[in-house]
Amino acid sequence: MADVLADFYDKNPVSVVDQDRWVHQHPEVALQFRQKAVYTPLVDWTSEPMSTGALNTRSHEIMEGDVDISSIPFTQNYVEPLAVDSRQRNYTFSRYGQVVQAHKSEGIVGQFLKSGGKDWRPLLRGVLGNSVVRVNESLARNAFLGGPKAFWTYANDATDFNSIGTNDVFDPAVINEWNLRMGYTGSPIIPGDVAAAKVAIVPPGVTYDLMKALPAASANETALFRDVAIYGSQTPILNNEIGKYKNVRFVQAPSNKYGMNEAVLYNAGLIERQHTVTAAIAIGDGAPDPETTQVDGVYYTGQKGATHYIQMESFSSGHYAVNDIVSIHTTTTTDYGVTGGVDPLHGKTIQRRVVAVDATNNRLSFDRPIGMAYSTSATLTSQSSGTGAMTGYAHVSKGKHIGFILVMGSRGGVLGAVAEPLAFHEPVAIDQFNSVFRFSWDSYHGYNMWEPNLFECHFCAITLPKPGGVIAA
Amino acid sequence: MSDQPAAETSTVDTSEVKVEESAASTTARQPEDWAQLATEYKEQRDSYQNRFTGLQGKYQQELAKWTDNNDELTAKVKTLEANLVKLTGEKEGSDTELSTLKTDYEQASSDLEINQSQLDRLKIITSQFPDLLNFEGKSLLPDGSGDELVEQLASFREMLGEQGKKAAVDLMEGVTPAAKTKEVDKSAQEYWDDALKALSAGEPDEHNRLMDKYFEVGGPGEN
Repeated sequence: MADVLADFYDKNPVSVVDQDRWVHQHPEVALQFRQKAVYTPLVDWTSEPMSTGALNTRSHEIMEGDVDISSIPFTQNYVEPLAVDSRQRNYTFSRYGQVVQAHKSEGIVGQFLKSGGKDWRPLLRGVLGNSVVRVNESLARNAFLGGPKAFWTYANDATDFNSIGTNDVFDPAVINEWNLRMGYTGSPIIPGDVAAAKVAIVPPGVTYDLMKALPAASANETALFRDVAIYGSQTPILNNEIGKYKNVRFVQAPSNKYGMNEAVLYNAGLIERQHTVTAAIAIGDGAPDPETTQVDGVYYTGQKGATHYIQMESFSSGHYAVNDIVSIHTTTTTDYGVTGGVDPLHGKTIQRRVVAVDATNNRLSFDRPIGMAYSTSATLTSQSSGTGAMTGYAHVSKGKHIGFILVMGSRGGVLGAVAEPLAFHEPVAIDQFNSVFRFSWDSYHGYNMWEPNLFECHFCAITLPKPGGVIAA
Repeated sequence: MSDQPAAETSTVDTSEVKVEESAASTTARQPEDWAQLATEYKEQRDSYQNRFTGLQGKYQQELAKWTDNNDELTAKVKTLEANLVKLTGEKEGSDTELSTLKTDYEQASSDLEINQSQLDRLKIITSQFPDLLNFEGKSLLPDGSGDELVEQLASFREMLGEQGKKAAVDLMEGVTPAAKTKEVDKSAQEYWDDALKALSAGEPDEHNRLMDKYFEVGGPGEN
């Protein structure tokens, strides 16, 4: 008998594949999904493309006719049949993959080599498994964000990201609306949950604002919140579940060890500052010199030979401050109502915490190196640019951070389709000393919008943590 | 207050009256009457002045008397107000003390009730179930009181007896607990299958142990 939570977390692109087709890396990846995934298990999965091989599949659904409840004459022999109709939905898949590098001096590589190159588990518990889970977590989150915007809701009277203001923090009053809007039309999100509770994935800042709002509510309203410690011994609880309020179970999306959170759309709101990066950024650039400057007074970060800043166009003292979280991105969008807005779904959008500002030379340094290259120049127009359009490699934006709350009414909002099982490829040393190994994986699977009535994307202003304080909403 | 201003006012008034009277009665009186009329008015004026002066004195006396009374009453009011504040404070203190005493009383009553209940329970156990006293010491006996407790303890004792009998029978029959299946001579494929079963059952530790075995006996190369 399978464990209830194992059932819940085994909704992922690995576990959906029949175990007869598993290879020895797959069980450990399934375990990693159980331990680390937040958004991926909320997707329903099918492996049908593995049988059909079709890139695009059209799924049909029969629609029953209306029933006529009028009595019929005793002598009538012919009755009009009920109508029957259908509707269709498409789903598809793409190819995803990544290559990670590791040095043989690292323990995980050493263990791998010691096992004769058979036991991948140390790697899968580290950087390689993280790569698979992180890619799918981002894809799953973005799949929910890819639904129709007509279903999106905003805190208070905001109507898009641009109009989310300082006061539009999370208001628990919207929970009544969630309960009204999302009926129990699908199957329960948590298997076997008799209450068929809704699940809300919230960033830590929303927990912060919820806990601040509860004391201000009436005593009766406050009493409706149940900490997970109260009911956790009676029912299976999800990873990172914090409590239950009006039959909505709140799961706090965990931040990574650098403080970044998938449930926060960094700088996606109203832009406060936006400047152009004027010199190409190489992989490994951006962190302070590890021989002279420790990040947070502790970490010697990155490589001595890298460029320890990113070079920007002219900006003034005060435009950026230490501990600001800025986004580095190559495109801007007005899709969310923001002029020159950051596109949180774009593949080249990343965020970093500022640890040093040099307003004289127009440079910023970050808490960790930039992990991808920004080396393609283009004509960019940044919102705060003193010169307007100019040749650059990326924008740096500082704007209002947007909290993203995914509320699930029931299962079935997004359909994941797997066409080829996740595959790992035998690593080879890439240097002359046989020291640096590249491990790669790829997979043919996709995330498809399936039933937008079953979930809701809710957005609000959000308070973020920073060393020694908070970044106010 | 001085009398002088009042006298001046009186003089002016009289003069005005005189002028008006004079104008009004020019045609009605003879000239010889003017002196008499002036005398009459003068007497009248003196009379009014005397009365006014007398009343001024009385007025001053009354004013002084009432001023004194007012000061006295104001002092009295202040004294009474101070007394009221003091008494109110004392009353609130008494109320708090009373409330504390009530709470203490209720707590004591509750403790007494619990102690009495525990005493009754111990009496039942020591008198009717002395063999279960050790279980009570380790809080292993069922909760309850009165007849309900007696019934539960009897049931508990009966169950213990049956367990004891079964152990004795097992001993006589030579039954020994089944030994764990020894994991020997399993192939990598068998460990793989068992590891997947453990994974599906939500037993990650057992899964990892079996995967260790799987790799020990050769792993994927031996499948």
